[in-house]
Amino acid sequence: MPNVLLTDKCTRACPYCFAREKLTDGAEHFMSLDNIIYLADFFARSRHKRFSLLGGEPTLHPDFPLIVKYLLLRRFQVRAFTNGSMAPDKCANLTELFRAANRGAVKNFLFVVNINEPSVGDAAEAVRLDDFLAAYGEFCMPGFNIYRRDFSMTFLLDVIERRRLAKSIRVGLAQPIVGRRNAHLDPRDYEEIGRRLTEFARAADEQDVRIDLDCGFPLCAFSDEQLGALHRRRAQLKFVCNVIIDIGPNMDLWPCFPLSAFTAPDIFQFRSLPEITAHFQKRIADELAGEPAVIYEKCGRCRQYKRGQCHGGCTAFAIARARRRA
Amino acid sequence: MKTLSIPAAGLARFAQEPGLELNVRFPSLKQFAQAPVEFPRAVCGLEFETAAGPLEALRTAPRFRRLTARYAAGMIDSYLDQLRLIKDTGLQLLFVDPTRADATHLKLLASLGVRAVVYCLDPAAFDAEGFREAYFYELYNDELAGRIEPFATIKEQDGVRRRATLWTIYHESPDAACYVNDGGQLTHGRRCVAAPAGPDREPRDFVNGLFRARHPCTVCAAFLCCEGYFQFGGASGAPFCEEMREFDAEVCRRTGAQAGAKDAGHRQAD
Repeated sequence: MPNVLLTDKCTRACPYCFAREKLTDGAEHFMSLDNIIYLADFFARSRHKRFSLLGGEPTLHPDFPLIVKYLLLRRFQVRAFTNGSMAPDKCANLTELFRAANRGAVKNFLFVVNINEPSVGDAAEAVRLDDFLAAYGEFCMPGFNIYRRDFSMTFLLDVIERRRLAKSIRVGLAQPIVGRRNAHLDPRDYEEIGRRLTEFARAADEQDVRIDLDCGFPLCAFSDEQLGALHRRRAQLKFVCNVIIDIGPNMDLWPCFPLSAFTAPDIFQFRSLPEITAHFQKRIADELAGEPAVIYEKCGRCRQYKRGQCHGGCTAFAIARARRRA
Repeated sequence: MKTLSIPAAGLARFAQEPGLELNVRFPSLKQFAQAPVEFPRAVCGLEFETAAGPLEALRTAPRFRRLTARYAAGMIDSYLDQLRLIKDTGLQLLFVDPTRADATHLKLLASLGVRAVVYCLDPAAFDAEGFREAYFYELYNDELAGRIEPFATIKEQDGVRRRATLWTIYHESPDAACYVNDGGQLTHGRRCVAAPAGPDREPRDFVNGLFRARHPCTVCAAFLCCEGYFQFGGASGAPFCEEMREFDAEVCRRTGAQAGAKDAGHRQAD
């Protein structure tokens, strides 16, 4: 599922930031409208219906409302991944369009709001986020990134209730960025993460809130009992690591943020999304030189891995290991 | 409701030349909305010089073969908000001397199914980059929801005998179209209006005159789609003439035809 970076500028400095490699502290770059049109045509040709807008902070793009309006009119499902720092009036005249887009069974427009624990960031950030959620809560789905063992997500339940957010939480695992330093989890912590997540899912279910796992979780982070408990609570479980395809403001490409060390000059060399995916899959396989892209040694003997039920965690661990060895 | 009366002398021409399209040109959509007009049956198209605000008045306009409004620069948001209406009424947007920024908006609208027309009028205002952006988008986009004229028609006609020229695509050929203003007076096409008064007021005479004068245009590869259009009114050496030739060559390159040659053969056979 490709991500389109509207800008390389962000208003936050999250300790786990997986996009850091691609962000700038200097003059920002914004994706041009011509490139947006090119991508919309490219995605349509590839029969891909979803447009995920990222950054940096995508709402910083001066034409953000116009871009969203255009993509919705082209009948894309739009997801804008934001930290919620946008001024509430920036998209005020789009709320009717958002409502119309979400009228059917499928929600065609959502802000996926990355919400950190209250201890991260300052008071001003918290106020801006709350103002944003007050204005756009009905179009927001909360997201949370786990980057330490002792995380707590309980505060989100109150935010969801108070600001009428979508009742599901997108949960990501902070992964290492190959060739860079960022706060991320050690795979040895995953069992503890699994235990805490299951505990949280039980509490969230009381409020009808479910959790959706993002990529990079290994299946063995959860026991059979925990998997059953999560399943009963409608958690969306996936244990995959795929080439996502991130497209930078200047149309440069890389497979995903943890693997942003693999770059391709630009999208204009390719005719479709599957062609880009194949390009990166080959380059990753070449770098691993036959070694499986897994986080644990035991993965090679695992039946779930062999059957494709689990991809063995984030490929960035395997690449980092291979590079250290080299 | 005021009835648009056209001088009998003007209407007589319709009786002599069947198939002639009568178009009415209004200074603005606002003016049209404020003073509704009843049109004679011969009218088949309306054109508005400005249509920057709400287009709602178009809903009440009679159903004509062609509704055209000049694109108001910088109003892309407003056009997107009214996209349903634009598509329902079949309104085509005329981009006169589009800048590079206008060309981006033209692409946005064309990709959403709107019919756009690129029109080059003023050599001083011509933006080659904007022109190229528009024709590249039409030429290399096989799944474009809308159309970008005149490029779409020329592209479609390549490889077969060309019948449409810029005069006909822009509905300015005296063989096919004539215009009246909102007072009912006969006028010329947009290009003719802009052209200074001179002996060659009629484009047809002008084209014939090019042959008589052995004008370099007549041996140009792109002449079959242009027919001296950019030279009309004494605008000699108009910069868009060169870009139009370039476009024609691109079309031929894409289809493997030799620029102009194939069609020229047909023409001689005529």
